[in-house]
Parts: sequence; structure tokens; C-alpha cells
Amino acid sequence: MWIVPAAVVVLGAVLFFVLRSGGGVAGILNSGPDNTIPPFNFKIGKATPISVAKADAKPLAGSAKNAASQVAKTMTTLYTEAFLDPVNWRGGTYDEVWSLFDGSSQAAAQKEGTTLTLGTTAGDTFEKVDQPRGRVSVKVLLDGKDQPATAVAIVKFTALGTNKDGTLTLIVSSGQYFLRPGSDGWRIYAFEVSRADHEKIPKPGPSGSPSAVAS
Amino acid sequence: MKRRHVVFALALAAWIAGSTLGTVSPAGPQRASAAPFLEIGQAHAGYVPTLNGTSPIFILFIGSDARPGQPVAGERTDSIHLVGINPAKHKASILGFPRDSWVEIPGHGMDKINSAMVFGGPDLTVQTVEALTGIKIDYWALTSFDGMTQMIDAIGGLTVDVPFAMQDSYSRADFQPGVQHLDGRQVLAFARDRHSLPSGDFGRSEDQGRVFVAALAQFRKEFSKDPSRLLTWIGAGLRNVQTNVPLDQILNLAFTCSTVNPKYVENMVVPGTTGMVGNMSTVNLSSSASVIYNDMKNDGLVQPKHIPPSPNAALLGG
Repeated sequence: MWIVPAAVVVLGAVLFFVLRSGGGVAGILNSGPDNTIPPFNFKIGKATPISVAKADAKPLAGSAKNAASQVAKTMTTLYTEAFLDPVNWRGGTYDEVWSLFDGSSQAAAQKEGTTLTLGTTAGDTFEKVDQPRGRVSVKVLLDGKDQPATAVAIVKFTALGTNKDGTLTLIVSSGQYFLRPGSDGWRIYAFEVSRADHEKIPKPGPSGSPSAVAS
Repeated sequence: MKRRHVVFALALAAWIAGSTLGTVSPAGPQRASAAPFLEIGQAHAGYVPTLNGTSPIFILFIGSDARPGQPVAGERTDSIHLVGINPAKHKASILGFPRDSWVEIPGHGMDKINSAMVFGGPDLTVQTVEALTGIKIDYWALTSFDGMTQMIDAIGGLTVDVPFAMQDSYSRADFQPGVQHLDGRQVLAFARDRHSLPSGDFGRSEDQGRVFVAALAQFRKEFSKDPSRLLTWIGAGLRNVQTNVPLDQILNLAFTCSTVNPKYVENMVVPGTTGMVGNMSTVNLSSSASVIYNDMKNDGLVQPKHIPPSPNAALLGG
């Protein structure tokens, strides 16, 4: 009969740890890393039409807006796969990222993997990446038939990386991507992108405890 | 027995959970230093694609004499420039042809080079220059006075290093030497003035080449600051230029041009002497021009030893 009180004690200890960690029972039973992708969508800023036929492109604002929305989808996929999907950054492989680049730019993009993605060794550095934020402005070049021919996505993206040692890194990527429409969506063919990650010092909370909110 | 297993599993889970919590508890607040620790340096990924092959690209730029309302392709040409770009070396050369050059026009016999446009539009002008130089031209681009003015205004004007004083009531050129920002009308006046130049049309052709170099320098400067300006330039260009180049290739060309350093662009005019045929003033191109053509044909560039003296040498103090 001694086993019943013992089990209660152990169960109590488990519950204590579960509540302290904020995780669920599933988290305890499944001791592997959390591969949940933090939800993310680029906010669309300005969509500017530039026409090869009309000096005043304002009437083409609707076409530019539609194109910008498609471009933003590609950029959202790019940054989700490159910075947010834990399976990718823990494994250091980004095949879904490269597939968004077309033709010869694929090889150039892979060469710049440390800039365009979280990198092949991110799994050794980060425990978690979340709190993504991003804004994209899009300039759209419309051809003689007012169809989008190419676009430039001007992006600013940040996310908060929790390092293995518990410190925080603000991941910052900004730059411009040139895209063109294809049968399977907009694809990137040129880019100028930089990374400027830096340490994030947590702001003290009201009670003096640290808060891990990215600024 | 089954219960024992359950308890053991729970105890193990509790231990693992505890251990895990121990390792991930944030150590952030202990870090007092605000000094940034840079994870990844600024790395510019560079543009792709550029046409970086070893083959040169040749483009014929044609300026039509057409006034507003006149058909651009049916009028004589006021300026003809063959531009050779070497993408691998990031260099280029500009070769101007005096508009009165007396040359063989395929199917039309000898005539002034600028008549080719009247006889057969840009295509015949291309054939004429190809027959003269032996260089296969990849693309042509045609604009007019009006088109050039609007194009320059659409990109916000052009910064030009005016090499010498120019005053000419015909073209309305009125410039003191020095670097200055010109609007479309002023650039047109700069490019059209021949009366204040001792070498007339030869010197003017060289000045037109200066406009190309100024445009390239400004494009590169704007592009390096804000790559999306490329779309503004292409939009402005295509609204005012007729061309046989598909849009995607124009984009490739624009990227290629972004890699060409204006310092390494040679601007020259085919040498020749003025003469008369009947009552027409003409230019007899120098036989030494064939050396320039053959040199340029190889890689789009002209070696310094083959570059003819500037027709504006007297004004430049050379």
C-alpha cells in the first residue's frame, strides 16, 4: 500500500515542474525540441507602380497592389523557411529557401547562405527563434500591357533568437529582392541583403524581472 | 508491476524536466554589458544575374532628328553611337559616328550615314553600321529630342561635367565649365551644340558620348544607394525609347551596366575629314578607323593606342 502515497508524491513533483516550465504533459513525454513555426506574415507597406508606357502610373495602383500581395507571399515564405522553421535552422538545410530563387541566382543565393538564412550552424547557437516582425514595400514595373513584369521588395525583418546560453539575439535582416512572376508564383532573381544581428538586452519588467520582448 | 513502471517513468520525466529547466533558465539579466556582440557581419550578397560572360555586347544608340509630332523612325538620325560593353572586364567603349559620314548603305549605294534611317529605319541603320565596322550589333535603341528631354526629366535630371564653356543660340546651350545638374532641356542643348565647338559635329558627337558616361555614373550612384531606382530608370527609358530588346533582357542589361565603372569607359569619335559630294557637306571617315573597328570587335573595348585624339582637344587644352 506504500506505493500509493509514493506515486502521489512523484506526481506532485512532476506537476510542480510542469507548471514551472509552462509546458504541457506532452512536452514532458516528448523530450525532443519544439519544432513549432512561429506564425508570421509580412505587413505590406507602400505598393508603387512604375510603368514603361505611362508617365502617370497612379491609375495602375490596383495592379501594383495585387502584385505586391503576391510578392509579400513569396517573401513571407522565404523568411519563414530561412529564419523561423526550426526543422530548417536546427538541421542547417534550407532547400525550400533556394527553391524561391530562379535560374542562376540559386547558386549565388546558396553562396550567401549565412546572410540569407539563419545559417548552417544556427542549431548550435539558438535554442529558439520567435517574435518575428516584418514589413515589405514593393515597387512594381508594369509592361506595355500593364502587366507586372518585375518587382522590387524592400524588406525589414526582425526576430528574437534565444541563445543556448540564455542570452538573446535580435536577428535583423534588411535589403532588396528583385522578383519576377512565373507559373508557380513570384521568384527571386537578384538581391542585395544584409544582416545586422545584435545582442538584445532584456528590458526590466515592472517588478525588476527581465522581459524578453524584442524592440 | 505495471504501476511501478508508471511511477518510474513519471519520476524519470520529472528529473528530465527539472534538468531541462535548469539548462534553459535565462542568464540574460546577468549580462550587464550593452556592448554589441555581432553575430554575422554585413555581407552584401551582390546582384545576379549579370551578363558576365566573356562575349562583348554591342548596342547601337540612335538619336532621331524628329521634332515633336514627327515619326521618330522616319527622320534622319542626329546622332549614332556604337557602345561596346565587356561584362567580364566591367568596361565599355563608346564610338560616335559623325552624322554626315559618307558610307555605303546596303541596297542604297553611297550616302550619308544618317539617311539610312529614312530609307529603312533602325534596322537599315544597324545594317549600315555593321557593314561599315564588321561588328555584329546585338541591340538598338532609338530616341528623339523630345524623348531624351522627357527621359532625363523623369530621372530627376543629370549631373554632367561640362568640359568647357558653351554658348550657342541654335541649341540654346549656355554653360560654364564644371560639374552641374542639368534638366532634360539643358542636357539636350549640351548634346546638340556644335556651333561653339571648333570641330563641329565631331566635337558634338563626343559630347553626346559624355552624356552616356554621365548617365552611367549617375545610374551607378543611385543604384548603389537604392537598387530599386533601377525600375525608375527602366520605366523612364522605355517610355521614351523605341527598342527591339525584350524587357527581361533590358533588366539584364541594366544589371550589367551597374557593374561597368564609368572611369573605364572610353568615349571617342571616328576620325575623318569634311568634304563635299555635289552640294552636300560630307565626312570622309579616316582609313585608320578600321583599326578601331577591328580592335573593338574583339572584346568591345578599344586599346589606348588605338583611341583617336579628342575632336575637342583644342578646347580641352590637349
